[in-house]
Amino acid sequence: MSALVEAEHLAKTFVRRQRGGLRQGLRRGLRPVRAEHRAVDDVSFEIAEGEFVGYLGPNGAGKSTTIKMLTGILVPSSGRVQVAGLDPSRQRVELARRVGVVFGQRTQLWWDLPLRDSYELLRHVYRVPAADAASQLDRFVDLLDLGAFLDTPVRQLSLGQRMRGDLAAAFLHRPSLVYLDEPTIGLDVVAKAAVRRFLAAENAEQGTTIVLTSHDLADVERLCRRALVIDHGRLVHDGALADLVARLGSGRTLVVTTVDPVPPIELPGTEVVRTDGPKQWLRFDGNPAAVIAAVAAAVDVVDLTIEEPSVEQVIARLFAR
Amino acid sequence: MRDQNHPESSRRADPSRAKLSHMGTLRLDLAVARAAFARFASYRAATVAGVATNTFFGVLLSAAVVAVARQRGEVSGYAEQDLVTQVWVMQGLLVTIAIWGWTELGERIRSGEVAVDLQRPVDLQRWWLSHDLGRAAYHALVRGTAPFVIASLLFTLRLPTDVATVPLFVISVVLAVVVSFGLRYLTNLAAFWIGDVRGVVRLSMAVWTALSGATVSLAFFPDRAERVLRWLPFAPMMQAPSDVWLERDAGMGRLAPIGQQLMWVVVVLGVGRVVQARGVRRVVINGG
Ligand SMILES: Nc1ncnc2c1ncn2[C@@H]1O[C@H](COP(=O)(O)OP(=O)(O)OP(=O)(O)O)[C@@H](O)[C@H]1O
Ligand SMILES: [Mg+2]
Repeated sequence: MSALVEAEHLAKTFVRRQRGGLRQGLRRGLRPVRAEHRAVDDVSFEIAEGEFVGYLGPNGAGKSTTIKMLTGILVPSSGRVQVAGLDPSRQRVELARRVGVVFGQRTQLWWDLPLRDSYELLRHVYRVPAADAASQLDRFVDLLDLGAFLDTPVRQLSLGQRMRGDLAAAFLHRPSLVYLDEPTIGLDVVAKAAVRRFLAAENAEQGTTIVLTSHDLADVERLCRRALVIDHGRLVHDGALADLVARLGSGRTLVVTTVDPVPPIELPGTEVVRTDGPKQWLRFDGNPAAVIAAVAAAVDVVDLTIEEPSVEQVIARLFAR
Repeated sequence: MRDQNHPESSRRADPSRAKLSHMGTLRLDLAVARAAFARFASYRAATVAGVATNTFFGVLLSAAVVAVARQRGEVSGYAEQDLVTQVWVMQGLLVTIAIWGWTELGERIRSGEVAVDLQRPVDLQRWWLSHDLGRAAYHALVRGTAPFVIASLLFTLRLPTDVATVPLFVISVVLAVVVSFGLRYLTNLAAFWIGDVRGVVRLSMAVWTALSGATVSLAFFPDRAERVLRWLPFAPMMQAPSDVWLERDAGMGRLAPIGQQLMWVVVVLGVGRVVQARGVRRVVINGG
């Protein structure tokens, strides 16, 4: 079976026109300076039906640009993309029927109308039979806890509420493929957990293929079996995130609070990176349970927390090699 | 399994399918228009302020044309009652055809928000046309009609003598909105090339206001100027529906204004499609 998404040597070059000062401008006949920027540079990957893929990388790496090319709203500068057997930029409208998208900081909901009205309209946009739309919405109300604000105008929703509303909108027509560009931006922990449960269920039960970008490593760790990592427009990792993290060490930090201030805790495989009164920050790689047990045995512990490394940190380490 | 839920994916050469999909598109157009209607209906304060403004200026202009008519008797074949009626028809049309401008699509292109529009399985122009018709329906019914009703208590307004005038007027207003939309759509598409369209829109609004008959009825222009102006795309937005309501025959029969409107509908929508196709393929979609 052929892949649902195929990208081959995909590249996008933006031309930035920089206007210099007036004097410079006059000399050049008011022609702005052209500067080329390769936002996506020779990226190739395939995504099979039913996969849940994380797309990671630091700010400006080219994630959003890639997704825009996959949806067809941006024409690639070179390379080839095929999604569901279609050429996205030439068959954008046809492809759009089978795809759902959430651009985290944009919304497809009608700002001035009650949330419910947007779903009613989307039902027509994607020709979803009324009964099917109603049962989908029931499911979303349940999973994403939309009940309290279905009849509230979207402009009055909080960021997290709106985001959940947008997620439901992207899945209403049972798309076979959904792109999520930072869908957990600005969500509190409870909402984040709900969104993760929702996405996991859509992927597992409905078989929806999902491509997710996020700066929250936990999103990707919990949801994605596979991660693509991009930096400066180039693909630098394609495989299980666990492999990447194992390869580089997870680089987590254990924050230990002791009853009284104690000298820096010395344990194999850990390194104290900071102290503050009774609090110590221990960097460690490997199994947290073993480290916690060792710390608890060594000192009188009041409190323990684990800080996850950010995606940026993992990626920074990827490049440190 | 998915295919059973998805009539689209099992599409075959089936003639009834084409018809079905046509119906679906019309239903979508209606749904978009309905949502736009509801959207503008939610701006209550703007509605009240707008009706008050149109009424205020209507009274002012009526007083002026009454003074002129009393002095000169008739102006270019318009009696006092015609002149006053024309003022109120125009007041109702102003907001209906959005003569004050529309930059929403241009702003969406500039901010990259248009990404959301482009990832819908819907033609961009068709979507915004339906949206504009929904908006115009609200504005015509509320902001267009209210001042006219208020005015009919203050002045004797001319009502059509021929029943056919009423449906013709409705058709003419719809065509006026479509021509206006087509022109506004084009100015907004300029954002694909120049980024900020507010200047272009403001300039085009000044031209419309001067040349559509909105400020001075085209009938009062010198004959040769009037003839030229009637063939430009501005008269179809204001002068044409007003002439239909007043049952004027500008020498080419009462259907002439509607014919000119139809011609411009074809032109502006057609050019809009060509420009859109070029713009969409060169768009860079701003913002992450
Ligand atoms: N419309 C544009 N014109 C010029 N350059 C652009 C444009 N859009 C993006 N870029 C550039 O392309 C690069 C990749 O941008 P992109 O939005 O894909 O990054 P990203 O990986 O999504 O980052 P983030 O995590 O910040 O969302 C950036 O250097 C950005 O400056
Ligand atoms: Mg981005």
